[in-house]
Amino acid sequence: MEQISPLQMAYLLVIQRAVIMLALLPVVTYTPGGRDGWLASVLGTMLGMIPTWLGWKVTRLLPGQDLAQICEACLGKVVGKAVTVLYLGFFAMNAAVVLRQFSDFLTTAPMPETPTEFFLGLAALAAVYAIRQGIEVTARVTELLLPPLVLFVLAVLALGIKDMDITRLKPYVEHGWGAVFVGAATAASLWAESLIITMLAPLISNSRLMLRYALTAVLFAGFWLTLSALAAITFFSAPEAQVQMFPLYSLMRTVSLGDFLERMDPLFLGAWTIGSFIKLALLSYVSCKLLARILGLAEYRSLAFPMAFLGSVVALQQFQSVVSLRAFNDPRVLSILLLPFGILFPVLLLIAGRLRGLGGIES
Amino acid sequence: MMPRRILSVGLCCLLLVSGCWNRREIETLGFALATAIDWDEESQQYEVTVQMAKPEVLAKAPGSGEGGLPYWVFTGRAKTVFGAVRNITMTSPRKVWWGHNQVLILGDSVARRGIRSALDFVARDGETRRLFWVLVTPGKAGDILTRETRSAKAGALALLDLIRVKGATSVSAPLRMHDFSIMLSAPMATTTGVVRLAARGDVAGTSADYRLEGAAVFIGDKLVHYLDSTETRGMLWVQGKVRSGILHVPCPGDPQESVALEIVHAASRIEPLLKNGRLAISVTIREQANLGDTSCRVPLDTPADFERLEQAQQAAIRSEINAALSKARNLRADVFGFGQKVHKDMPKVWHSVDKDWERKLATIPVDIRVTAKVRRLGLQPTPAPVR
Repeated sequence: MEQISPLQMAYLLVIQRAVIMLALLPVVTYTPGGRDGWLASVLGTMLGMIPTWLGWKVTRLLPGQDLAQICEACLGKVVGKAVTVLYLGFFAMNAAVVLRQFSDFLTTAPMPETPTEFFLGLAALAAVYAIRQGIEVTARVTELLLPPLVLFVLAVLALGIKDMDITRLKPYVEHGWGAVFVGAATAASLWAESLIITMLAPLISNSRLMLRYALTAVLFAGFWLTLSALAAITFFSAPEAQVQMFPLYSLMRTVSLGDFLERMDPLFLGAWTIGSFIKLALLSYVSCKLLARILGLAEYRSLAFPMAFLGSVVALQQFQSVVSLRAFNDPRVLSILLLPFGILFPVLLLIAGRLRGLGGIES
Repeated sequence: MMPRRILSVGLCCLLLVSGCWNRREIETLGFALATAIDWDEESQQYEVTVQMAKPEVLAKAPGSGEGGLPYWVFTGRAKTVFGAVRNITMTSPRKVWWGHNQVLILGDSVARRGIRSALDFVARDGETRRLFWVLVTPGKAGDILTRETRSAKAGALALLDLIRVKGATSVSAPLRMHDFSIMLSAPMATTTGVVRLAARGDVAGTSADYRLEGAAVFIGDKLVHYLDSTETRGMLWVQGKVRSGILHVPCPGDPQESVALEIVHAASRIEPLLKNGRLAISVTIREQANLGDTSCRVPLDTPADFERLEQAQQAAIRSEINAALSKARNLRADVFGFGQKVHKDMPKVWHSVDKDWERKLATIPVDIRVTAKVRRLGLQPTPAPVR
């Protein structure tokens, strides 16, 4: 039986959420005016705890069981399977988006002449390898790589401090709290992905610590994101930060300390590659596991290759260009799509579970 | 099993380290040092001129033999800046690489027409960085790059040298692309440095190549005016960007003669305030200078002398600022960033004035307060003893 520690779960959760958000900084892009993106990030982190907490509650319905089993136990064979299939679609689609985003970033910024298919295929193969090794290995890799990754990113941001002007945050809340809330909601809705803890729960060695670690992970990722939003806004000023495709990447390219310490963007590439890979491996693991449950297979690893192949095809076919990927990823649309997975289904499961008398006894 | 595993890892590495599609050999790249953009009215096209480093000659010590000039200059034309850049390759042996571009020079023609296309290419391209300097020239930008320079190995390097010492006079306002584009997106007029070809005929045999002086004022993305050096420093006082420079004041008690004061420290604060419900701007300048040179015949070494110098100095600074202010009001160009400050500190007030801020600027009272000190008078406190 595979086992991961609560800390490793927290690390997985952080990297899973943080990396993509750091690259695209949706809180800045999609908060009207952009200047209050950091406030939206703070608020969004608070709201993001809701799906995380709901996910934890769901795992408590049947300790030791994963999402697919809980769905079936709560909602019955047919409806339960249907919801599981929806979650499979959610996670698998997410994996395809990560795959596409990873390779699109590389072909947009540093290597425009390399075919997208090349990076995409490479990443998909790496994910297959990771799944075949088991989630434990991915968890250990994350434990090893996340701390230096966080340090690198924060250190480079620190190098930019001399060019950051704190008054660029003013005026605060210019477009009203409604606008801040729009940004916060888009950030929070992306936390629907923290439902992966319902798939990791059976593996966690000390499940009593799970909630505490999960919420800490949300807080930490939120803190990181808020710092990054602050850095981007004070470095570029809001109107400029909002039009950057990858604000932090541009920041790292611009940072220059005494005309000597500059061109830090390879660090970003490193962080991006590591983060995307781990996120991809995690989502692929969850997808394979869910598919195995749906099909009633005992072994999920053999599904890795077909799933990766399917994911690559979806990633390539679903999005004709960067523009269609952006349109799909627009949190104003995406957040409504994510709402059922983050809030609606978990609540449904909890109600159904209670009606069936599950989760009464704390183990 | 083991050897096969090692072999497969090795093969994977090979795949990754070879650099694949974007492999570029260094000798096939033309490193752009400076770029000039002009608009050709006749053909309705952008003309892009690039000065590229010839590293093999640039690295040699000067006068160490042949090889010719340490740079190439090539030109391309097209309907967009990017198109023109690509067309350079029809004459240039190497493909232009932007990662090391140091200076962007905008010709008068393109600056007056609007610089959006130029900025757009720069912002979208993956090679450019936002660290190069943006300059405007009243003539043709390409001419700046074709001039054979004497003060440095290449025009771009000569310009960089001039930019480096700009603080010694504080009469030029060059900006890096990063700051330039932030200014363009802010609610204020945008300014950057102006470069001209230095007249070599005036004093025969001088090594001057360029003159970096004054500021170009943009409203939106269009050039509207060139500020002279007094107005430029007036603007820089308010922006808090004066580093050093010489202020001339009449000699106390001997007004025919002048005293040169060297600015050693300057800071500014802009404060919007409401006076009886009416918006006003208060500008506070704090400055310190040292007495550096005088043609006075009287010694200026008493506290009373210094007080009079300080007053004269205040007046001098104030008149520079007033020159800039009245020009800004005439141009309806908020070069100081007053509007931005109002936006930051009084967002509600700003929303009632931002529609026609440029027109309002003409009537909004600006209160200028200058505190100017004279601190030191050098190694010899009295004028040079001449009998």
